[in-house]
Amino acid sequence: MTRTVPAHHKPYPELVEPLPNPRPYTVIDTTGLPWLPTNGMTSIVERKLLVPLVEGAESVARHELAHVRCSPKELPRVAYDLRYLMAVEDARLNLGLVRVGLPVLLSAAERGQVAELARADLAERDLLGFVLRALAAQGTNVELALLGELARHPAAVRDLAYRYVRRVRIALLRSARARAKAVADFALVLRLAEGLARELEPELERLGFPRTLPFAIGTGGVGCCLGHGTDPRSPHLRHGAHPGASAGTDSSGAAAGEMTIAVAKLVHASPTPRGGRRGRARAASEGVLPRFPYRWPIDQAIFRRASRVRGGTVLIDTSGSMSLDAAGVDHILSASSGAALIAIYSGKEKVGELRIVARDGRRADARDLVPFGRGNVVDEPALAWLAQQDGPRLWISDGGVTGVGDTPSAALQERCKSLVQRGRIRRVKNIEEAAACLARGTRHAGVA
Amino acid sequence: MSASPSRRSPREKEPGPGTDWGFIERVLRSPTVRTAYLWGRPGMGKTYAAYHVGVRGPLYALTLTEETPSSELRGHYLPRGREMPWHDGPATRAMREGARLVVNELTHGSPDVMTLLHPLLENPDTACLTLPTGETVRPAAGYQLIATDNLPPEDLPEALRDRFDTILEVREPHPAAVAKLDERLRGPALRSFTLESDRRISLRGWFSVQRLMPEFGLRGACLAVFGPARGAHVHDALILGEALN
Repeated sequence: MTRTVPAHHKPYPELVEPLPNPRPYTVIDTTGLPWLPTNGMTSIVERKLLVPLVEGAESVARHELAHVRCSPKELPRVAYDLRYLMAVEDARLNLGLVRVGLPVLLSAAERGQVAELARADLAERDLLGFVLRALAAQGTNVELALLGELARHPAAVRDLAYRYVRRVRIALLRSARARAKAVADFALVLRLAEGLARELEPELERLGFPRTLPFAIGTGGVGCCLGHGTDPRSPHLRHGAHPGASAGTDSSGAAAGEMTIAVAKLVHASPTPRGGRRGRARAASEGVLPRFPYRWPIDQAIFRRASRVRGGTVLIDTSGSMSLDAAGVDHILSASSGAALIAIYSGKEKVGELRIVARDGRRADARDLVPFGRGNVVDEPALAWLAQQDGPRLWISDGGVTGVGDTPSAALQERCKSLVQRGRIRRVKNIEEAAACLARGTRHAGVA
Repeated sequence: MSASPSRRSPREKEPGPGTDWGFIERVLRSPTVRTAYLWGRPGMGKTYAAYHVGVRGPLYALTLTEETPSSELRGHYLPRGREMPWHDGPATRAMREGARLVVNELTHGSPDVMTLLHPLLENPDTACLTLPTGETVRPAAGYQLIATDNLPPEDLPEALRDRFDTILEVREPHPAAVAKLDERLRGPALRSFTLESDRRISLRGWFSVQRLMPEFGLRGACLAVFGPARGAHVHDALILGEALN
């Protein structure tokens, strides 16, 4: 999903990684993506960090930064289920974070979610899943609540879970202490994971539990898995949904498509002079040419100083019936004395493009005014872009907004409406209306 | 869009080779360079260089806004008692005295100012400015005009761009300025300069953290300088970067 993310929620993996790399990480917001296996993931190879970019999710980012700092670029190939390795690696990092005073502290809601997942593990007789989850939760504020779920279960089950969790915890802490570092060595993680895989499964079988996990997992890089976030066995995955498939209509709000911003070659000069419109002249007490001599006895402000009004920004939804031609661009430019910034946008399937077609008195050629697609798809990011431009901000659109798959949704509509309000964007129906607004110097926005 | 992926805007250049500050200093010190356009991201030390490197005499500086009239550069009549004497603006003074004139935020200037800059940027044979008093001022020896801005030269009107002797891009802060940072902050600071604009932290930001650190501690300084959310992320990154090995 693409949504407006305040930049101040984005973490800084580049400051953490062991060696400097001029290529920045791509930080991807996982808010509202229930089909992801977890809400926090890292791919060091692809330089991608997936974290929720919202208030109160700093702990998830913190854990992922620890992966960037300490985990190998790629998990080694192992002869056992990779989730053993991932769980122990999560435990190593979480315990290390405690040692440096930055513990992973989940919110009450997240703690409840993890406890519920643990209960579900036990109810479905997935003791292996439970143990791995408890391992991965080491060093977080959910570990006790999670282990507490064992209270109603037989002593043999409790003993098995406590024993393995304790063994891993002690080994990791001892190793870190022996190295005089915050985290244990990754080689120990490999040994512990291998030992777990070798010893845990026969014991599970002896107690009458399944030996293996009931679901498959694939991971491209280092991923964190079992401590928090979305359950890998969530209905979205169980029912075969895939990324993006349900994004348009899920209850958390439709996802907007991914938008790229392009600048067309601005090859033609505006028919009107470059520069902003001149506003009303102000009287000033210093200047070159006296214009208001009658003010001399009053305040000596006899000079004229022109104030300048900015050109404004026009965003045009070119999906479907709406289109723009060179004459339309010229019309808008001339209404703003050539000072308007004009952009068109449209989309198809999951992607869209916002294209700047006029700026600073120059416009693109007619062939660059052809829409990218026939759908909207990227209304939300396009409006977010418009909200950051110079006012007055005009949006030429029928007001309908869609997301991925050109699918409308009430949540998306609501978000766009909020953007329009906060960004003081005025929706107009056509180019003539936009030109009239710019010519009037409309500064105040209405609500779409 | 603040699209989830933090991507560079099309106008934003990919990180390229570093800045050769030695070369920039040589150019600014050269007596043959009369006009220079220094551009680059905020907090890279452009203004510092324009004010301090190779200054041979007086220095006049002003920062343009859309509202800055050309009379602020050229000069104006100013009432004094019952008289209205002429006051030279910084551009006229710089030409008379052979001084350096630094014009900050060049692209913010109004067309009025941009047009006035044309004669100021001309070569010595043609540069002259006739004032409303009737006097014609020609640049004295040593006159220099250095303009600074965040935007690339492509964003300048062609006629203006063409008048600069040199166009210098500053991609990295001056090493001497970075060296003044605390050792703890220096490494992360160097890494933060190449980030995309919405996460980039300027040298000014790091210096603010350094100033506040003794009083508020690292966490308090980060929160005070960058705000609660970004400050927490920067603090976490600093701690993790130095602690987890």
